[in-house]
Amino acid sequence: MVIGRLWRTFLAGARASIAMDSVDYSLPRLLGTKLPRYILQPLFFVILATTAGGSELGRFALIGNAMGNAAIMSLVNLGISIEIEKWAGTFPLLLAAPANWLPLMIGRATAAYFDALFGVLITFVVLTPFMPNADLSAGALLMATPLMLLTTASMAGLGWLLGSITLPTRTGLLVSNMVSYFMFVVCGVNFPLEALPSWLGAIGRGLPLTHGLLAIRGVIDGASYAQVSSLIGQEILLGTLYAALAWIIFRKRLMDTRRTGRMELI
Amino acid sequence: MTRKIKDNFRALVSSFREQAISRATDNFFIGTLFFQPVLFTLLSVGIYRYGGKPDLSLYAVIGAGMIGIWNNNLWTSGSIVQDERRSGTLEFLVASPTSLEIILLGKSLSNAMASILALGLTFATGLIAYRLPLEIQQPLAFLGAILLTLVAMTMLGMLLGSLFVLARAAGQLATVLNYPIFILSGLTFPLTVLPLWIRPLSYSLVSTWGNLSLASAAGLASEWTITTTYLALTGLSALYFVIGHYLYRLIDRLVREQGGLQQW
Repeated sequence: MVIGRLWRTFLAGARASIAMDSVDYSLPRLLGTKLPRYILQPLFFVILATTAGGSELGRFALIGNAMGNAAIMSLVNLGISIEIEKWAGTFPLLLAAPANWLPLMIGRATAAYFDALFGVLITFVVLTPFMPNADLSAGALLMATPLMLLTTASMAGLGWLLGSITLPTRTGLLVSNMVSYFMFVVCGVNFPLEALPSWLGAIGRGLPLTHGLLAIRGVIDGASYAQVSSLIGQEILLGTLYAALAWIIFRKRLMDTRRTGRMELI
Repeated sequence: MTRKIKDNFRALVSSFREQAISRATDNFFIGTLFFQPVLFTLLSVGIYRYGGKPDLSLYAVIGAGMIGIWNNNLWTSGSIVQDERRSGTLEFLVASPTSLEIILLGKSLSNAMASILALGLTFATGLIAYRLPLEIQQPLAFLGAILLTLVAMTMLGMLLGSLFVLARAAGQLATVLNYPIFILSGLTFPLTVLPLWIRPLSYSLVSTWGNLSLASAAGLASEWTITTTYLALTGLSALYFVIGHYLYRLIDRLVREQGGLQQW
């Protein structure tokens, strides 16, 4: 009974998010703005990395940026999913609704999640043929797909945390954007973590993308899931930790808002 | 005639000031202006250092600065028109006796001047984060390159601003244009890594020449002399101005004939 109700709430949120995305992205807009962005950002960094360190570093950048792009989409879209409600003026209505917020929020993030995964797929499909020395087989990429799903999901946890922290402010989008781009520097997207000053590397190890990306690179290079299990474990742990923190902060903010009746301040 | 010049100058100054004030209170603009140059410097210099080519670090710093200049100038030029449209004031600006072209010029110049800060930030990041020995061989020539790049970017901002009057998705378009321009202009990597057939397109962009001009003045090896890059920047500025001016007149006539901007 309870599970059925939660499931229905999740589905309602998912339907709403997919409907919003389909209105927002018409075919011309998808082809004219979204697809070029999926491809051109990784292309820029692949050219830069190839110039700096040859095809091996180019390959490193391709894998990193494909996943980095997905991470940005997952984090930013989830980070601002609450802010969008504020812009649309629907936040007080959602706040007052008796439905459980957790399945609703997960549901409302569905489109963003698929969007992120679609971005990874497009990046590999379009750019891999132009890198004959990259040695990226479809089989290896397929093997790594569950890890890509996991990493994107764990990024969602961080996105929610940022959304919860910035809930009373008007800077949610800005903060999410800054954090996600900062992750391009400290999470081993374009060059290994070891190349960074130690304090920056330490920050990177505390963020969700880093371990997932290492595991993905390992599996693509032929490692088994057992060999990268500790990295997978760390990625799951960090994702769960960030999501739990997000929920605690969000719940507190909701309760404070309901108690004081100051919805307008959010 | 003198009165008209005075009026236009007053409108130019007002739009410059209005743009500066509105951007100074825009968190997103401030964040992008200060954060993006730092990030691109950390990334591009980091990649070169890891790849074993630290000698290209200064090139990466200048390229990252140009990325900041481009982003803050062109992206905001796209948003100028979009913001006016969203506020419902674009029609008023088009219909007012002061030409929208003057307003766009003032606003684009304001953006371009603010964007120069990006270059300072990339140098500061290189010095602090990587302790790079960033020495400019010809400081005066470097300053000249900055000024000419600023003028050229303003002219390009005006041209794109006119085009964006007809594009509802101006902000999105400006964002999509970013990476192709970074690639075509060879920002953070030498142009020689691009296929030969792309070069004519690269050389039609002010960002390419701004980057080459700054790099030459800084003392980096280049196939172009500083004078050539200055001439190219001046020529392109004039070309953009002429195209932008006629484009604006065309769009202005079109909009007045249609009696509104609603269909765009």
